[in-house]
Amino acid sequence: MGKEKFIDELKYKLNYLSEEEISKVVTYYSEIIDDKIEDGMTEEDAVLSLGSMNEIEEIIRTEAENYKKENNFQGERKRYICKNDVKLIHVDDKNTSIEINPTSEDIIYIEYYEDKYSEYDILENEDTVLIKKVLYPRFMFFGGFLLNNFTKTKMVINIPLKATIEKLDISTTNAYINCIDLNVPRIELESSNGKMNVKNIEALKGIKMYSTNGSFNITNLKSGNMVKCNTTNGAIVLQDVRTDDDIELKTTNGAVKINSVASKMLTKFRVG
Amino acid sequence: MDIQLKKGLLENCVLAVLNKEDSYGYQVVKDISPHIKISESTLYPILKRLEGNELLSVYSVEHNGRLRKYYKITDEGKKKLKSFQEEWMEVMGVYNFIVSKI
Repeated sequence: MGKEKFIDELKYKLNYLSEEEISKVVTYYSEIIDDKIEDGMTEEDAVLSLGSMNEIEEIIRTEAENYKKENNFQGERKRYICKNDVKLIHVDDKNTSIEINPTSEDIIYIEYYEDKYSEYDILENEDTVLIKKVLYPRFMFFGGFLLNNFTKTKMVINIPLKATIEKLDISTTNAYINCIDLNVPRIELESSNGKMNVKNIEALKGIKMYSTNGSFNITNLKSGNMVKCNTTNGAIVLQDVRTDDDIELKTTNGAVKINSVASKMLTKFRVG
Repeated sequence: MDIQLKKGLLENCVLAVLNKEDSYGYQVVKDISPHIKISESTLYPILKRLEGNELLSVYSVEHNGRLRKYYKITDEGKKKLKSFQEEWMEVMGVYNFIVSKI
């Protein structure tokens, strides 16, 4: 295996680590390989001499876990303040409830929780903020049943009234999403197994909601575009929803309740 | 060898090598290998831990068009070596006692 392929495989195997940590590991091994080549080894031999990828991954992973355990990482709530004029907020979370609220403060800020089981990678680029949850692999397979205290672990996205965000793209699993008192043109919400509560929202370019086992509760929504709700086992309740375009409601096993709704076309799919 | 024991010894081996002069990953492995089994992979977490505990510091030097990370022992690191030396004087005493009875 050549150096580049080794590094690629290393990055892939360690993709559960934070970007910072992956970068450190890659720099370390890259340097070692270069030093061995300088010492007279061929690139292939230098990579071979490092040992098996599985061993390397195990050593790195064990160290990451021990470090957190030893430093008795109880977990803490943190705050991230957006630096730029953000237009898109994209959240890729797991097992965490998410609330999106207005704030009287001047800045867009995100409150979140980190502990020894997981942390977040937050990347801000020009007008986009990407927030991704990073889980430590040992706990990935438990599907996050460990986090029961949603108040302590929830993520809160705070948006000032004068902010000009264009799109919210929010995804989580096994937890609720609350989106209240906001004016954001495009909203997309996804949660596999949790209630979605949308209240007092203006989403002129449309709102889409996806879930498997979650129910949707929409109260007082105004849109100029499509309102789309898609769930398998959840109920859909709409109250005071107005749009210039279509409303599409799809649920397999859930009830649909509509009260005071205005749209071009209202489609209710009930499969099964 | 017992894992915890080996870890402790390796940490002190690294500090000892750096005590003589600043060095870089590959060189550290080469210097320690004749005395105790160590690989680049086992060295990584040791360097990380030593840095976290502020027993060594890191800086970069340009070498043949690339950056190479050098490690430098701190005053705290030197203190740790000193206490290793004192502690193991005691260990040596007990060792001699045990071996004398075998």
